[in-house]
Amino acid sequence: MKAIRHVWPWVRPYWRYAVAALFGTMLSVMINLLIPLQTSRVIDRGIALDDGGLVRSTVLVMVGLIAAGMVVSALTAAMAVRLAFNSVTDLRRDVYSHAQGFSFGNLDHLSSGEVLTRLTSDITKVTGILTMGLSFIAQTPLMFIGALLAIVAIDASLAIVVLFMVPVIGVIVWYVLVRSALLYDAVQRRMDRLNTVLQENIQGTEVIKAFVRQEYETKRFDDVADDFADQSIVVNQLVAALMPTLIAVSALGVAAVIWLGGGNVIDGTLSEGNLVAFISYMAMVAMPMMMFAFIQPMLSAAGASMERINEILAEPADVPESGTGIDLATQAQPGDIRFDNVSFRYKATDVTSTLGKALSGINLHIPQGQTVAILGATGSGKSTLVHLIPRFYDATAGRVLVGGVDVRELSKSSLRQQVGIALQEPQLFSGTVMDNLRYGRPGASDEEVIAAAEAAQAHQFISTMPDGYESTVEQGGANLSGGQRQRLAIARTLLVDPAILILDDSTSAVDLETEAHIQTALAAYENQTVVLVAQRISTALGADVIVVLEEGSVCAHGTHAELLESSDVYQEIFRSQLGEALA
Amino acid sequence: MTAVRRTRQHHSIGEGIQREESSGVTFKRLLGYLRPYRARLVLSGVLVLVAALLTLGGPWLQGVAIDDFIATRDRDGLRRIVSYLVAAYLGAWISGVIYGRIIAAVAQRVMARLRQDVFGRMQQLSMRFFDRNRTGDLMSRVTNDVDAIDQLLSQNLLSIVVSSVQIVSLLIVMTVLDWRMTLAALIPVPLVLFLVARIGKSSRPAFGSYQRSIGTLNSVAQERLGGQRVVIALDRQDAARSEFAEANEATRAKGIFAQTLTVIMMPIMFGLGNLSSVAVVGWAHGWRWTVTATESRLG
Repeated sequence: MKAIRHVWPWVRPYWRYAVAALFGTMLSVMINLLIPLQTSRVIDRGIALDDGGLVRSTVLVMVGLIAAGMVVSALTAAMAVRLAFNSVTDLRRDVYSHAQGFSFGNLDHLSSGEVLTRLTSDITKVTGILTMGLSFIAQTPLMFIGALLAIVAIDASLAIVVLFMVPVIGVIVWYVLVRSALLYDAVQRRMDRLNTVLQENIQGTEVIKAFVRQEYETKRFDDVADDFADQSIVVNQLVAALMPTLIAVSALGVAAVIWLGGGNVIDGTLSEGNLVAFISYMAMVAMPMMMFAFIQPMLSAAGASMERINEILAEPADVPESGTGIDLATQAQPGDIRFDNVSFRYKATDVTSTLGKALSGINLHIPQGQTVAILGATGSGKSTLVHLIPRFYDATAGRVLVGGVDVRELSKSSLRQQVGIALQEPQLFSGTVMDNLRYGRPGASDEEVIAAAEAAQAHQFISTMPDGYESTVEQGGANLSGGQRQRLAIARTLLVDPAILILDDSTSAVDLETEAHIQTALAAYENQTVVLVAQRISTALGADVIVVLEEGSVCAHGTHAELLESSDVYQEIFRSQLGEALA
Repeated sequence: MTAVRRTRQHHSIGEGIQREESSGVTFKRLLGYLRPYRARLVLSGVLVLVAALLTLGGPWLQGVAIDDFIATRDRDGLRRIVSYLVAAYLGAWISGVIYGRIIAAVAQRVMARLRQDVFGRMQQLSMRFFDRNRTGDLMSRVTNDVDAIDQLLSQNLLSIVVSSVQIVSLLIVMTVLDWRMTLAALIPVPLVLFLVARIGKSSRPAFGSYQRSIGTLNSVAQERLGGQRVVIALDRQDAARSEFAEANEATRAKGIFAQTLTVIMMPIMFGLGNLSSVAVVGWAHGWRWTVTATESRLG
């Protein structure tokens, strides 16, 4: 509930709408409070005294009041909509903008799905409460207190009925809200169990089929689904009883007022018109309390949503922008890379993820223009090592220098423009092939795009696609093979023409011959530092220098010939992958 | 959203089940799920009717109490009529609670059955199906989509039924009491219908256009957040920000317009309803006597 206050900074610029909506709400409440007075006037003064003129004029006043109330309420609602949609549109922009400042470290524990949910359904809940909740919050106390005062003014003795009715309604609403919140928790836990069983089954279909466990799993799911239903029934039945009960309580209050107030009328201490007005005011006292029962769950849901949105906003960017902001492009040797006693550990929160181990004590110099291959088993830290170059992560200890400058002192943008990396996961966007290739450099000419595609050995297959470079790439590149996606990702990176090109195992799905062609083409990019992360030794053979990683440390470093002589690990990799083929 | 919708339609859950089903067929299938609870549903239908009649009876009895007994200083009559009133309210309360409980229970049982059937069906599907569909999509079919049906059944459908029963019985009761007054009460109805149609006519395309802009916004976000590592690697975060900001800006005016049309409907309807009661349906607020008297005197 308190969490909804987090929305305030986004509401503030639109305070004028808020003030207008509050003012309008108050006005319409006051108008509504005046109407029963007119009713009473018609009955007691007009009809009882047989004054046709007064009846007519009072009815006209009522019509005027109702019409005014209608206009004021409509305008108030329109103001509330302006307030809600303007603030929320700004909020959404800011949440997204903040999320776009995240680095790999943030993304390791915040999935894109989580961010997306906060931008969509959570934002929608906040919009709802801003549209409706504000006028409700303004309206409730005013209507409640105004009507209560009117009741006391009309007949203080009858007001006792109301003073009895109000706490009863209050207690019922309070009980149901508290109890249902607890029960909803229990429902949620059963929903989680249902989801777990479901997820296990969908992801483990293969195993379940292999071991013919369908019947057992079906029974298991039937049980959790029934259990969920049982628990939901308890809470839904409780909530279903709320409204009829509240109506019954206030209706019984009205019956009591008719009995007691009728007696007062008969005794001559109360007029008929005032009795009727009293009953109208009673409804105005009860209504805000009933509405509260329905708004409160909405309010707490919106509060929870705002809390979740705030989690994103409160998440600090894992790799902050440098204070000095040195431009890498102005350095003499922007392609020079140096690892100075670098260690790295993934954040404690990420331990559960299956990310590679830490790096420890890496010392490595890659001079400008050199082609280096990083070789090692899965989990040896190859990707982690190269991810430190464009500052996807920051080293835990030691320094990474590019162009002779600590990467933390370079402007992130200038660093990433000079360090081109084709990631292990060659993610493409929906759009045309051309859109995808140009993604990193929208201003590139067609010729430049084609040249990059040729170097990445992608031009040929693109040309055979139905619309060539204008062919559509489906979401996630679903209509392309893994190798094709990798080649497009390489071309996309080449087009940026970076001083340092990193291929993070990005030819794993490409056949050996094509891979060799790509490497030949890369050799033509002179003065470019190339870092090849490789699982396959064939990828590494074309490099000037090969670095062998084992469990996060450099265990060998040298040319192919040197390593064959000196490194046992290298010899073993070589023999297992190529040895037999060559022998 | 649009993109997500489209994928959903493409990968309909049953490989063997017909894909292009009319909503009629779907509805029939849903009725099949309700069949085992026929007796209970009929009972709650009756209770809905009873509750509606008793709820309507309340204001009428109030009117009678004021007009016929308080006005004539008849204490015994008043006591009698107040006891009827209490009985009517208690009756409405009990039937309301009972049908609410029945429907809550039936809805959850039906949803459980539906989930279990979908799950059982998934167990029979081939591996190919699981390769082609993402885990999240399949899960949301069993959870969110079933919830949406629950919402439809236990809230929307129920409130439509209850409201129609109330309106029909209200009209019948009113006509029996005084058909001229009923006709008078119906005078604002064409105006209401006209306004609803009028606003509805402009609000539907407005909402469509707003929904489309939100759909575009969501797919922009989905693409770039899903491929955020590429966005970072190619130093396109600022571009992604402005791309989103632009799509986001496109939703602002559309959202305000569409939503405003919706929210102004409520006060207008409410006000027209009030006007109609000022004009005629006095007895609903316990002052039938007033208006009848006014009519006769003014007439």
